[in-house]
Amino acid sequence: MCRKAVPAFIISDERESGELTMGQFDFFYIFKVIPVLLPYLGVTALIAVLTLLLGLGFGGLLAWAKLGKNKIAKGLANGYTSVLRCTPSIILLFLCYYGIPKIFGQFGINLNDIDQIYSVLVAFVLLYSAIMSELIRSTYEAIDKGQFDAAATVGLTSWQTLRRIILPQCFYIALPNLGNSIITLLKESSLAFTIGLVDIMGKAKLVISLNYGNHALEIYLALSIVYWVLTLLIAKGTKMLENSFRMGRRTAGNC
Amino acid sequence: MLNIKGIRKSFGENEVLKELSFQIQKGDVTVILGPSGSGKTTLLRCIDFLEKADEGSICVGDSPEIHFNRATKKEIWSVRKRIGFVFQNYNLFNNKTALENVTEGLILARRIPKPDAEKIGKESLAKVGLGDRYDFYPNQLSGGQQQRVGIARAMAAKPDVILFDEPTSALDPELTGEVLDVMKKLAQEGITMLVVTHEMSFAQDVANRAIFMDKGVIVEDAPPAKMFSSPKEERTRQFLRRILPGDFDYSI
Amino acid sequence: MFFNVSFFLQTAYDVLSGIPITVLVVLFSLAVAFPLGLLLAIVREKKVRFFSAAASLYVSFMRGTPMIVQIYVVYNSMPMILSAFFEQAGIKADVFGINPLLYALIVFALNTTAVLCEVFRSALSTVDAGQMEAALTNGLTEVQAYRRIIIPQMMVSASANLCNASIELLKNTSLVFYMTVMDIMGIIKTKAALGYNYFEGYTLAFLVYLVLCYMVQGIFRTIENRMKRKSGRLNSSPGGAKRHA
Repeated sequence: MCRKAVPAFIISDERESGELTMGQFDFFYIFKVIPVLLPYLGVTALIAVLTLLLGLGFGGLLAWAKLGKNKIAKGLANGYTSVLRCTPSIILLFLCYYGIPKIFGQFGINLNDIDQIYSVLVAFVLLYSAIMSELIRSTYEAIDKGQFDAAATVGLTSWQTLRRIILPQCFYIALPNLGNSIITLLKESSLAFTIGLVDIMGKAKLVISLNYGNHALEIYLALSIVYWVLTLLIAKGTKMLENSFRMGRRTAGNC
Repeated sequence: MLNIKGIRKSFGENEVLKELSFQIQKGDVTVILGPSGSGKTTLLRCIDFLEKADEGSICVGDSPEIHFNRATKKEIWSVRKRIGFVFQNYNLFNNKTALENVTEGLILARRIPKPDAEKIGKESLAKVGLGDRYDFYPNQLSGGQQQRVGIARAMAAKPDVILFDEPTSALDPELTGEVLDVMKKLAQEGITMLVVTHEMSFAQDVANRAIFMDKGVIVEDAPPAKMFSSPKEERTRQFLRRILPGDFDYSI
Repeated sequence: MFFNVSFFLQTAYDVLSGIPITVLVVLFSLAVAFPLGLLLAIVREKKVRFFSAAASLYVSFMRGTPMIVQIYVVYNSMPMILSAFFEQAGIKADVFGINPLLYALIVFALNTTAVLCEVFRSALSTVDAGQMEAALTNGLTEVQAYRRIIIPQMMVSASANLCNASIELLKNTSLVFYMTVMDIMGIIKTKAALGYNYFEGYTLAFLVYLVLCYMVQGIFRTIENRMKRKSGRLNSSPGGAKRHA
């Protein structure tokens, strides 16, 4: 992971306006640079997976608060979701990057040299737990309450009902939205470079600055191809999961 | 067999069940009739502890009296064990096959080993005419088929009484027949049934007892033939006039 | 000190001049994307030979790549494209003197069009096919059917998603300063850099966007209420997205 550096965008602004007066557009450069960038997808993937897991966890807690009876908890959870839904990721990123060391500094804890990835993770987990809490809540509400009744009459405990009847259905109902959320997460994570994290975007920026701004367009096109392919793969994967979990197909001629 | 005493239930300001009491004998096929809002469904749901009644008690067979508002989890299960429930909206477990729907409770709640449970399940399904569909998922079955699975699920563990909450109300007219036929078959085998329904044909042909409920109380309790031809109460008369086909006044 | 309040207040005042730019980008993008997105949605649904596939590809690309990458691609390619265009047309123009706001408008219009295309597609699918059949058998042309029957019904189920899309658009505009456009973020960043007041600056940005966002939600709520009163429909959003808290 890279050391704290001057935010990347400052370098790029200066160089890139110069790019246009020198260097020709080289189509094949796009494909030459992809192998250089791909290894850094690992960082992107790491952030995505961690954010997803932690976001689901915290989001689950929030959803539980929203669905419960405690009015204060419900209000707080809803307020949290509402506020975070209106916050651009880049602002949250910078707020965490500058704010976390500052706040902890008040308590005498020096966090000025921690790795950027922690700020990135905190920011994204905060953001994603709001999204996930809505996903979980709407999925739970979509389950027919009659399922609980039926399970009670045949004697299943609450835990058995949840585990064997409710959650599998929740998973299936949530799949399309979950897939979309993962794609959104992937795209938002592209902003992590702004606080200096060297993921695939960060590496691309480094390559551009090493080239003195040459071939910036090609590199950005390469980035867009990589992201696009990833998005298509995730969409495809979600579709496949949906198919395998469909639990009975709708065949023509059945009510 | 089933003894309900003094059951009372309010939803907020609205008192839906006003101190009802009645008894069911073994082998009775009892139909509960009444206008909507009379509390019929609430009564059924309270009996199986799907709603918590405010007052009253229940006695199944010769087990001790259990109070609705104070029942422990163990007591609730001791009642539910002996009651089967068929829902208006079937409420089949959407992520389980027909067979799995029937065996879920057997395996998990009654600790019946899986092979035995599956045998029982298949027999149950065969009895309702779905022996060849046991690995179908609910969304692959028609409404009538789904309800029959619901009935199979309710009767698999051979309960003392099966409660039916408007079992055919959610079905298209062509499909009610197959469900009513199954219910008739069960009645003929001597299974004790308590059925909330609007299907007068079932009441006439199959039931041996009719209870008319209105605004949370039992208004009249008589064999169907007697109630339909010569109802004692004015309220019953008014209700029957609206529900029954015109020519009924002449039968029996 | 922990929080530089005077910086906060002073910059809050300065930020006011950046808000019109943000609003301009949002409104322009929506104004362009609304009709174009609608057109694209209809084209995709009707499966016109070449255009449907092209539209699908376009939408897939715009929704499958991050906003910041699109911004960079446009910012780095537009000058080249424009200078080539001007050469062809024989116009003498200083490509580098063009206000980067233009590029911002272009990229956000392109992106929002793709987003709205998807919003309208899903809204379209909630309108019963029988509506078009009824319209045609009653003598309306397809265009008339769309204009008078289909589209009005679509808008009811689209409204929740439109609100969501507008909010996403608003949040995305926080990135325009990467094109050196002096919007809210641009002003804040410049001022904050002078005295290292980054924390105060971003807190301000956070609050400004929060307020703008609530205003957007308020506007949509008013529009929805107006629509509901006009068409007399009960509150139902078949197939539409659930509005978040």
